[in-house]
Amino acid sequence: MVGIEILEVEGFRGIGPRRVLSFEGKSVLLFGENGTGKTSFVDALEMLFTGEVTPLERAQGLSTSQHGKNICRKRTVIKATLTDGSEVSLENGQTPETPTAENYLAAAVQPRYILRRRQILDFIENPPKDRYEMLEPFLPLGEVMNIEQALRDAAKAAKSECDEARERMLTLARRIAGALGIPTPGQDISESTVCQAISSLLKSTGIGTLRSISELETARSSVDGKLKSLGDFEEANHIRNILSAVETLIKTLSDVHMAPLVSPLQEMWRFQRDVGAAFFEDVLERGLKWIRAEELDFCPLCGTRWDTKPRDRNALVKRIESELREMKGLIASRRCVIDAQRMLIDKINAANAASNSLKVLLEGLGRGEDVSHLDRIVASLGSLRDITQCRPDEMSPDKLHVVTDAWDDVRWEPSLRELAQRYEQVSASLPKLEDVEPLTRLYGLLGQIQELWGERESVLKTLEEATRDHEVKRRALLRAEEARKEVVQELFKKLDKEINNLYKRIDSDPERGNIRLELREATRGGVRLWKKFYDHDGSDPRAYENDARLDCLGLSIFLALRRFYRDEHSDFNLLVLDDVLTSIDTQHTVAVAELILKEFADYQILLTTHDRIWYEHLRDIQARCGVKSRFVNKAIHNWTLTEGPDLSEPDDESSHLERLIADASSPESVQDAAGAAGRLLEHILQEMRYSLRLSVQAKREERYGIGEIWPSFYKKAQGRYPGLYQKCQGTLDALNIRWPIRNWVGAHFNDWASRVGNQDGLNFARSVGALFKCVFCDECRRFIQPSMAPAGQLSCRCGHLLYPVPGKEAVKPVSREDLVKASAGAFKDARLDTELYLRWKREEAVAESN
Amino acid sequence: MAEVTHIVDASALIAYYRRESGHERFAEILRCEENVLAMHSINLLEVYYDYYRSDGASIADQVWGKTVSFLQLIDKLDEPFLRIVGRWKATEGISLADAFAAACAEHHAACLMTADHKDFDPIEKKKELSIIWIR
Amino acid sequence: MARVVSISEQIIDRWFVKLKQDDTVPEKFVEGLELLRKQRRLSNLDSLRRLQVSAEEGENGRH
Repeated sequence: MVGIEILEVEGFRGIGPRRVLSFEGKSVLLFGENGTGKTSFVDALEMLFTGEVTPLERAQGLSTSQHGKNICRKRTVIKATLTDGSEVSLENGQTPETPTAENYLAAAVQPRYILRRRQILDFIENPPKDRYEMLEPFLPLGEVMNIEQALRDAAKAAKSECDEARERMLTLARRIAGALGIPTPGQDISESTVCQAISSLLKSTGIGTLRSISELETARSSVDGKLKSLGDFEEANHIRNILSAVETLIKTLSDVHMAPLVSPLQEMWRFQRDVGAAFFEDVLERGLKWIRAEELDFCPLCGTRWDTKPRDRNALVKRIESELREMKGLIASRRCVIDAQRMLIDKINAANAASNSLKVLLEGLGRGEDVSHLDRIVASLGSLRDITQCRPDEMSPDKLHVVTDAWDDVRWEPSLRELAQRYEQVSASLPKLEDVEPLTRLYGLLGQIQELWGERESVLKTLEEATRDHEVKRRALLRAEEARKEVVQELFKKLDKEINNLYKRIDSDPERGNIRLELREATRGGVRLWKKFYDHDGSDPRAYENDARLDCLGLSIFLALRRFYRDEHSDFNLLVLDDVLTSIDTQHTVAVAELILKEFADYQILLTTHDRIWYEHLRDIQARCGVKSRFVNKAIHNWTLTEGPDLSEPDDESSHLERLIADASSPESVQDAAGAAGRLLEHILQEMRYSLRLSVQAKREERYGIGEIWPSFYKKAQGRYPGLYQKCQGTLDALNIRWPIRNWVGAHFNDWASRVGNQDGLNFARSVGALFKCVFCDECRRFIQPSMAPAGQLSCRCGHLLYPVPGKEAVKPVSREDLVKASAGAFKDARLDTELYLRWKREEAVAESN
Repeated sequence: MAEVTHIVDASALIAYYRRESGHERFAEILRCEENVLAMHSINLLEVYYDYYRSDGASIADQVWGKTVSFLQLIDKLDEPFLRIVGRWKATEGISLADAFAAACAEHHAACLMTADHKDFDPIEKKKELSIIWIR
Repeated sequence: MARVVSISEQIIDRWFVKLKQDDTVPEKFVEGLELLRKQRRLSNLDSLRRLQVSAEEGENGRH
């Protein structure tokens, strides 16, 4: 198992100069009064492993980046060395040496192993949804949720396929119904409906009923057979087409008349005679245009200049316009001729087209002689075309006459009628259209239905497959959701059990307890919290419980979750409890402390407290629980803005002082020694203030220096603890005399103190060193304290340092547990019991009153 | 001496020595390092002579020796203190020994540990002393 | 030390038990899911979409 060996912090939160918290791979109990920097170590640990400090991130207006740095330092260094040599630092990141360390650091990213006093009620007071989110790091369901989502999407895709297939089925049903002429179905069309409709169609043809779609091909063959029996209807069809084409040709040729052209031509000629050479009007028109546009001052024909005055040009223009008006009739007639020509061309083209169509049909039947006859008609049309393409002034009455006569001689109508008659005779022996058509339509319809039904079958199969696919995937999704809920609820039950076990260890009141976590999917993964309160089995603890019990509940939940997290991350065993014990009420603190030390013995715990009494108590509980060797106990003695927390061990301070005394050769080194002595004396007196319960004049800041504590200590030593005073009188008196140095040198060296003589300074330092040896035991590393009995005796925990009451025998200190073992039931076999005692007491009282 | 936190009366001590109901509560209080249990010598005397009467001198001596090994003995008999004792005796109608116990508790601002409901229930009701019932 | 089964694995194990007990879920489909699980492709939408549902279909998914 990997753990923290050392934590080094510099320039972070309340820690200024570099400070090292040595875990030595063990748990750490860290004491420090409020504001001495304990939490700064906790914050540093969180920053190192997770990248932020939760209380700073949660508070509005604060952030780790802005408020994490120590205000006096430019540089921030946080570094941890693990027991396997792995290192983690803010600057260089992680360098795990082993896979275990890697797992450790990966698990440490989520700060679920740190509980601060103010967070103890977080879980209880948060709304259900936030509680679920707090549980999420303990319930990593990401992979499962992804699987569920993929199943959901797959089922949805299958459903879309179903819907598409159904849509297509509906479309096909409508098409089938439409083709059969039956009402459009709502959903799908049944085979029986189709068969019925087809059967009624088949009835008219004399073919039997259709019992199933599979018989459709047979029915179709029957229809085909019937068609074939009618004869060659293809030929009949062809001849019908020829007859139709002949009719069309006759009609188009009938539209081809010369008369519409003759009249305008005659009219035009009349104008030409009366009005003059036709070509002239062109010239006049153009010349007029030219004169107007170019403003010419000469005649465009002969070039003669005329008077350029506008009056003359205008006169000319007026003359031309007058002549043009006279030619109006001619122009109009010419237009009529052109229009008539165009109409005739269209009619000729239509006749040509009809003729070509007929020709193709005749060729298809192999009727070459009929095609030749047709060609002659087409050729005549060609002559007509020629005349329609002349310019009107190119046409003459003679020319017209020739063409008209030629066209009249063609005699196309009789020949075409004769052709039609011949083919009608032929078609008389061929199948009639009215007989063929219904069967042809029916044959086509049956084919169409066959095709549509086939398509429908294919779509139906797709629909069935898609439906099955959707159903299976939907079931798979349901099972996945069920499995998740079941497992999570089981985990919650397990968690409940764990929370209850832990809570009962703290509060064994049977009227309370039965804690339950309930997962509610309806509120998107909300978690409700229930607790028994007397006969209210499932009540919200916030409704009935007092703060102390809520604190205990909060702690139980946190510890249960921590265990949960350990199940998932067995290599990670860090547990940080920042001053949480002091929020638990006195009645339960011993139980809580024992719970943590025993049940979490395999964790590396960082436990901080600001309560001195609790610090000492916890040290004793460590021994009682048999975990003393697994703990490093540290005390922060002092904190200043520039120096940060002072974690120095008193014996280290003492050794340091001895070295300084030994090396003191210059005034500066004497001052150093005196300064160190002052700090050590402050430390000693802080300890004595606690253990001897010294009365000190109250101060606003609650920080007491040497000057405040010494008088009380000296007085008590003299009065209450004569054993100590007698043994250490020289030292105590020496320090008492040197009160200026004692009070002013200390840890806060000042100008006055710099004028203290070398010898005085050294003597002071030596006295402090001697006092330290009187009150601090090298063996048990504890300061002396009053013995339980006899009154007035002082001793260290192990009894190595012992100051008995003068005249009385020294009593070696015994642990409380040993005291209890030695005294409880010591006289259990004696005759005297409380009943007897109280009886005698009452008898004495009666006797007295008598 | 260390600041006294609990005053023990005879009934509590006897129950503890006899392992009667309540002895665990006594033990729990004794175990706690921050607690300093004490008894006035008059109350110990009461215990001593009762043991003497019931079990003989030897046992009584042993009881005395055992008790002073884990309880501080208060031997205060100065005038102001005795006046407090007198007040308790006079106003509450309790035995002299009980009055010493009550006076010690008052003087040290400590809790009184007892099993004697008859004599101390009325006092608790008046909230004149902080009483810890061992049973 | 026994391997700790993660919550996700527990849920997936439970899911497979339920699938096998559900008569409406074809065996072939469950086998397909198990293969996807081995390949760590259970949350791959394409793989799930192509996973055959009935035994009559071709080897590599649906028609």
